[in-house]
Amino acid sequence: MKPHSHSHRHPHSKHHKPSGRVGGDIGFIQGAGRLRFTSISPAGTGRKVYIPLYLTAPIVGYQALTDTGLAPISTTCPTITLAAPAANGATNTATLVSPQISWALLRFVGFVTSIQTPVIPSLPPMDITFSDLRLGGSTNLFVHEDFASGDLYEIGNSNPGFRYYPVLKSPNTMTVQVQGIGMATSQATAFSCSIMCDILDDDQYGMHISGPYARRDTIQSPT
Amino acid sequence: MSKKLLLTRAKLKRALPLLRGIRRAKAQRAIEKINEKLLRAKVQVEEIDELGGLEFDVPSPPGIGRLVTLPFYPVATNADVTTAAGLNTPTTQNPICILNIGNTTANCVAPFVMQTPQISWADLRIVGFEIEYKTLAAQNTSAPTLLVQNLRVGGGTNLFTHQEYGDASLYSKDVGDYAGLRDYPKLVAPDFCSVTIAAVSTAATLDIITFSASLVCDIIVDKNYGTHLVGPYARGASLVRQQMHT
Repeated sequence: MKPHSHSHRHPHSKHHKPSGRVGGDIGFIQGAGRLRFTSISPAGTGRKVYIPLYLTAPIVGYQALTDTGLAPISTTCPTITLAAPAANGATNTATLVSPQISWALLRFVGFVTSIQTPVIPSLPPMDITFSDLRLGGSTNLFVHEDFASGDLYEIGNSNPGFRYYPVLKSPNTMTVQVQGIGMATSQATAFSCSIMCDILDDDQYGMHISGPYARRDTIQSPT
Repeated sequence: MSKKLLLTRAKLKRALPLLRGIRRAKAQRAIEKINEKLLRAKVQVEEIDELGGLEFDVPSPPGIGRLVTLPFYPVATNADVTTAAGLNTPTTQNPICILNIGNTTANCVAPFVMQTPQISWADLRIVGFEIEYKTLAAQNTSAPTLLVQNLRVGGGTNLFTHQEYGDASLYSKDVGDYAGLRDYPKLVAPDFCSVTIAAVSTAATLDIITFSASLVCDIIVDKNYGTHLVGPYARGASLVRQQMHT
């Protein structure tokens, strides 16, 4: 047994991250000299919220890790353990689904994963791969039409891009396909994944404006 | 030509802080004229300033009373939870909890509730939720996972977008930015904030998680230190683009 911290996975902690561009003479005028002082902050009300995807249909090799133990499915606990494939290669493919959010209108802006690969594997480590991220019956939001490593979308990576930021409105849900790649002797691996959204309208907390990254006119150069 | 202009401009800029009155105004006008000439010659003035084309960013504190941390304390524990007061003993003195996976049920720690203290001496605005955790697991197995659910102020609606459990790593202090919440409500005594915690693991037993959870708040009014201005992320008006009027 060996204690291990997760801090090494994210070298840019929220307290040490450079950003931005010096705004001409503005900083000089405001008394900042030629230095720009930056502080990482929350994104604003209703922005960058997370909604987990759940294993809602049983499939061989996959088990939900719930607060009452292992279960074939779960609509409440997003963490899943994936056993090694029966033979060297790919495991079965499962579909993970987000819950219907009837109380809010959301805009999808990202997809993140948390994969608990063993720190020092003693058996061939599995890779958890994802494909076909879809909203309802829409077109795939990944640029890759087939599977790609979930590590690319690991929480803390710099928000990989997607083909579009569609509006997520109930009864629509988001779905994603997942598959493990490993040897028959590989160790089971736990993982979870979530979508990142901006809330446009919340029944309880009102309307919000999404971030500039999700507003088409703000990412175009002014003419 | 440009080189001569740049040298003159640099001399004038160096002298500018030492000049007063009409001489300062004249120097300023001369710099502006040179800037115009340089721009016409398509020379990027900003880049050739004293910075030498470099930009300097300094990580800084966020401002007085902003992004303060308010821990949750284990006020209702179970037989899987060890606190500063001992096994299955609630405490309001120390926020750290140690979770024993499989102590009562294989592969999990049963849910329990943590809550913030009542802060009678300040009005706060909740702007985030953060969690720090360390895990103990066999090095060749998946680490255990902490789950969070139901972040509420008083009898308010859940501030997490997920109505059920979410992976706590989304809210980890080690992630480079803050996870969002549905709203940034005020936290004023006697209200307090509560959150439900559970844990799961691929291992039936023996895995351990040591963790603490905190709210991230901006102080609006402090009885001792006065009134503060919350960050722009918590001011609705500053999230909306303003029309420029000329």
